[in-house]
Amino acid sequence: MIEIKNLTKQYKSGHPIFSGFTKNIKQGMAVGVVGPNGSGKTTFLRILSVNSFPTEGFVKYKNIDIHHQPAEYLKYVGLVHDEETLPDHLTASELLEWVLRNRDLWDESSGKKIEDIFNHLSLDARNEQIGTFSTGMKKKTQIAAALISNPELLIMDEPLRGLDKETRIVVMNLLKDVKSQNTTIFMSSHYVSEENELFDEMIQFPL
Amino acid sequence: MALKNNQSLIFKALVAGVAIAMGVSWMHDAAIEERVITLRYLMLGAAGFISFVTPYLLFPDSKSKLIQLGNISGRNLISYLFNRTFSYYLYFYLFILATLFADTLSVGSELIVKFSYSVYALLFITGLHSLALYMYLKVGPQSQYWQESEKGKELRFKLANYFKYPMDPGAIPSLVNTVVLALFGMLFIIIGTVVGNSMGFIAEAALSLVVFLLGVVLYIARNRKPERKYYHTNSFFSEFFGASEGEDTITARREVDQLWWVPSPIRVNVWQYLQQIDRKIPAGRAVAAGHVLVWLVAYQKPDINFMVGIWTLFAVTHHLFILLTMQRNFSPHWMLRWLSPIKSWVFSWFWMQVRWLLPLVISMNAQLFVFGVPRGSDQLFIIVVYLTSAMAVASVGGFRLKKSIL
Repeated sequence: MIEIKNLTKQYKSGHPIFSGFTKNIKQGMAVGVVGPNGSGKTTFLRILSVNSFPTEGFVKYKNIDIHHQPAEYLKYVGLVHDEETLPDHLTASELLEWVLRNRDLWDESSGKKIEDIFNHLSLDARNEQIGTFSTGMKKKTQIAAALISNPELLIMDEPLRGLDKETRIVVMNLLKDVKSQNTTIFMSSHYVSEENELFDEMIQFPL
Repeated sequence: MALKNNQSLIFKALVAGVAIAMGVSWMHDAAIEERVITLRYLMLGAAGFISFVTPYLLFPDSKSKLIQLGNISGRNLISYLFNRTFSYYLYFYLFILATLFADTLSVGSELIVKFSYSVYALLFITGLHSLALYMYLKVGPQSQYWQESEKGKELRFKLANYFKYPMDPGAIPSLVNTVVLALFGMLFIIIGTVVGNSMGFIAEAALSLVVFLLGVVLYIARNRKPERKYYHTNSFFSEFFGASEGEDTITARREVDQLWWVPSPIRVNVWQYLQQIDRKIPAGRAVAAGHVLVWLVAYQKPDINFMVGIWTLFAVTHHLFILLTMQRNFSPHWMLRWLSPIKSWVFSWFWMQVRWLLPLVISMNAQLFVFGVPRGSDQLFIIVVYLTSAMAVASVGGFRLKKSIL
């Protein structure tokens, strides 16, 4: 379970993006994070991914205060960040190898697993350097990197941005599979209609 | 504004402080003759460094999209490119000023000589830097021709088959520029030394005006419309660094488990950095060129302490590789934090540098055998400096990573 208690974030004193937000999310739920631009969706997801620290309040996952024990928490997490920044001079396959080895998940079948996920996402240029990729290709690489380690918690900021309709459908099917394996999903997006059947709950911004 | 260097003031002050401290600790009790000789050696090193590193500092330009957005052109583009690279040399110039003026024995002595040589260094560095900008800015079309033409394909085939050397023909124009620039710069220092010894220090300093004028005039006057060259060269380097890897390159063949010298918890982190560095610049060639320069200095049989200083300086220079991998396009902060704790990254940056330790030790011992320097105790000192400075630079990376959390 993920426990959010009295969460407040402000970049300047007296101008909170949100304040006193409290919520509990059960394992295996898919939560849509929706709202207009600048309403605090990305800030909220950055806090969940420990890329931002709350002004007040806390977030706990499996009773771990995620901002006190980030490394412990991030072992369970898959991330699709709002930026497409990835290491320019690694190939997409190497990036996934790095993720798997880093998490002690590398074994003889990993090479095939990487091939499979890229086949699924139709990323043919998997052995070319990420620096040459288009926005959509980088997004696919980010999604593959987030999913390859079978995370228990998936945090995604607009993972469908830059993808064509066909790939969006593929990604949504992948996410449904992931959800069926009891993975908790937090996801912001503008394509709400396509995702309605995925989400169990919505968090509407501004809070 | 968006095109300005985004290094923090603290970082700039820290690097400037280290540069000055190194210069002061090295030359604070040296006689003026020793300072001048040191300066000439440093200029020899600068000629090699500027010739080699300029294209890698410039291209591919991470700010090219902003350049397009603002349609930066003409003089503004020339000025942007100059400032982008020259800011690095300013720290080196501070180091030179410290070696010339920091004088604990007689603070005010030989001020005219010191001032003349400081002007000499500034003119030489600015001139050669401008010349490098002029030559590398227009390298794109030739490089593209060799990379993509049938002639280039034949050359690649010959290099791979006859010389067993996996080199892309597109890199040849840059290599030619490096050799021409380095030879020109070094030859000029040698001629300047001869002139200085026979006609005095003012003549030597004045001679550097030739390099300055040549560089600045060519870079400004022959670059009235630099946009086309900029976009062509930038696009070539973007494609080159993206698409040049293949079955025949060392980075494609390198496996994680080959890095037996790295502790297993950080092995994969070090591996991915080595992959990235070796695709961005020919790191092995850069370090080998550094060793050649140090041997050239040793061949002159200078004072032992001076030689130890050169080795120490060279050892610390290796850590530019750590600074390179700290850039966002190598190390997206969110990803680093996601994958490993900050202390793991500090050790990864540190351990990455261990790969240059063996060549350093072999080179020093070979030099000890040939020229009698550096002695065992000096080598130990240089290695300790190498390792502690690697840890210090790696810790700066850890600090930046920590600071990037909002």
